[in-house]
Amino acid sequence: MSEIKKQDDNVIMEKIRKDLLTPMTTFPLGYKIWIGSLLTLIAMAIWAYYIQFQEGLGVTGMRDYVSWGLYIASFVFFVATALVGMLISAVVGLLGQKWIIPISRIAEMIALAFVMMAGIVIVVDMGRPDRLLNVFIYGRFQSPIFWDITVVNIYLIISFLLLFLPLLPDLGIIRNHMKKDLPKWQWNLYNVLSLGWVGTPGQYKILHRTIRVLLIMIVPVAMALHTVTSWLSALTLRAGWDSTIFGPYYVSGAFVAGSGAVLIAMYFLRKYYKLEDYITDFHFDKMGKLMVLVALVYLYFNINEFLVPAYKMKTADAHHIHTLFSLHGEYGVMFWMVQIFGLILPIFLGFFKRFRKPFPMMLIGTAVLVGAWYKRVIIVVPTMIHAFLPIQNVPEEFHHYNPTGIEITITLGTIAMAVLIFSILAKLFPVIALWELAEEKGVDIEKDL
Amino acid sequence: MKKNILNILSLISISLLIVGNVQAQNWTIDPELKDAQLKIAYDEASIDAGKSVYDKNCKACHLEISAEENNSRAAGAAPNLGNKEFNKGNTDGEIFCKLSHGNGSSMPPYEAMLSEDDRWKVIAYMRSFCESYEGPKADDGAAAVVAEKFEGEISKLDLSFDKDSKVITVQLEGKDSSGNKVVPKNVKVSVFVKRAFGQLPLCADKKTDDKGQITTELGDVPTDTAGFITLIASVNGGKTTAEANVQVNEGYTWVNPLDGTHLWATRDKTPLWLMIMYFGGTLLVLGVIGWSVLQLFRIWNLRER
Repeated sequence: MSEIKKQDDNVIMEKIRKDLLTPMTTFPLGYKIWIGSLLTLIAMAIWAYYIQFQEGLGVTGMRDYVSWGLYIASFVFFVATALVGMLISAVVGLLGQKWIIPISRIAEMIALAFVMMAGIVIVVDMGRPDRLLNVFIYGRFQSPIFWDITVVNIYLIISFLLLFLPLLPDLGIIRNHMKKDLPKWQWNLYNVLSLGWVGTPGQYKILHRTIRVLLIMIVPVAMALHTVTSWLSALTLRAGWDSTIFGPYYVSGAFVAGSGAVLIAMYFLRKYYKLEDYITDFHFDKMGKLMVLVALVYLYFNINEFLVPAYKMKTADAHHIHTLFSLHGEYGVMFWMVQIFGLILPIFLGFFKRFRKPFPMMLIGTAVLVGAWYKRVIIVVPTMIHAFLPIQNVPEEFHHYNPTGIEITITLGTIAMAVLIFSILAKLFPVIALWELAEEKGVDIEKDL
Repeated sequence: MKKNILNILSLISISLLIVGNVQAQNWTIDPELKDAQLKIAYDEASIDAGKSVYDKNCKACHLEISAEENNSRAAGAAPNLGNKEFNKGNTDGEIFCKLSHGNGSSMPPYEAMLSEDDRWKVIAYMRSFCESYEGPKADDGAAAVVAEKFEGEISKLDLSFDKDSKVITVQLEGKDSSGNKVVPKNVKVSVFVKRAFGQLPLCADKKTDDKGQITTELGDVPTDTAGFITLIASVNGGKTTAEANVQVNEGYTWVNPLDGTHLWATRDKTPLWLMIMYFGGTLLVLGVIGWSVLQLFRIWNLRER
């Protein structure tokens, strides 16, 4: 009996290894073009940043009144999307949902890539990045900016650990089986990174416990991360930001953005890595339902966030609401496009099983993610145009915010950078945890696989 | 486009307002008052008194009065009562009735709020913008003397303050055109307290008495930390002014709200609880991270040697 079982294990592992590790060794033309175009965008952004660094922030569209533009909107977007690591692995994972096994590493990779860019885009927004250290030297504990810097870095470290720790058994497998398939440097890298993993019960015990503690830890850290990010706005008295629900509003919005990003990544990885056996329609169905759930929560917060001030119409709020709600307002079209295509339509379509299939889900995920980015622009920019004191005796351009080409290039570059980091991570490491899959299929994993 | 919509909306709302007003306009004119004339003397005293009643009760809606041919205010807004059309189209008695009973909608009745005398005074004030108006003169000569204007020049303006009684006295001295000293009677004097933004009026256009002085009381006015305030006396609408820095009380000690530990203070005044939260939270999480890294070493130690 045990003989049959043993053979079984080997057959299963053989298939898993073949399916999941082969994409790491091939570099098809499509991947090269993809990386090449991302690098081109990044190179353009670096050139644009060089100009911005030389000339100062005057080359952007930001002026005295709108001093937070695309960069800070992108920062909030990156932080928001990064929160999906916590949603999938911790919230859903700790609830004992097994269907997240093939996608939890994808979520962690997105989290790491996006939170890294969140930190970098803040520096991009600084006119004098050489004074970055002053934030730490002179920062006030009373300022949410200080807390934000702290918590972004902590979330980065925990995200890294939550990506790295579950990789250990996989790195052991790669080290054991792929010596001849990989270049020497790459095999050496995996050999070192595997930390001598052999899959003894002792090692698994430590691994399971550490991952579990970190998964619990990341829940409050992630909540703090996005709540503090929301406080950057909400602790001011400005129309549109002066809201008590900004924390949960941001967190729920983050889950929506993150779900969109995961859906897109799932679709393309499944398609190009040929993972149809692992990321199945069932996973898209589940992920679609999760997306609908978090989007409904976000819709609820949206209604609260806009209906309450729109009912009272306090003077400054009224200007702000008019800009957003009226199709003739400066941001009206953007606002309704975002709310309809980025929130209401995805919820509606997500209710139908026929839309919770891979391709429609990818399209919906794209709409959600693009909508999420524009939503952050809507949260950040219009408020700054609606100061309580009248804006007078300033040049006409101060009254509006029109991002310049340089600014847009840099912003696109940061997004490309996040996608590039994810693309490299997904090429360098297996996108699905082999050992978790094996464990799920009943393979005895407590040995050197 | 956006403007067009706004314009259309405002047009609609204004027309609704007008329609509403027209329908509700319901002036009651008492027949016995229809042709009545001003029941007080039309002189400077009553006009001035009328101005102060107007400023307190009517100005909020009717704004500053100015003489003009036709009412220039937007339809639906309270009209400029200095327009000729209104002044010629209404007898004193009609205005009195309108003022007393209101029109049942936008114009409230003032019967209960203003005495009959005050109502006539306001009418006198309105009429003062209409040149062709001829009101009843005072019966005896005495009232006319009150209206006698000081024609000379103010040569000296003294502003004094008595700390105990809190009375401000403004003493004027003047001379006539040939340089002889005269007592400036019936000269309008205003007294203010100087503030950072604008000035706080204590009395406006008070007329000097036979000795050429006015007195006014200083109420409960905040002072600087040393107990001083600056008074300003202004004669003839600011043609001659005087300033005096006077001590009102012994002063007080100002406490800077930035002193002490607050959320809005500088970093060295961070509240303790916030520091505990920050360092407590951060160190706890960093501790867990450190522990996790330690576990990596333990996994490394369990490798096959």
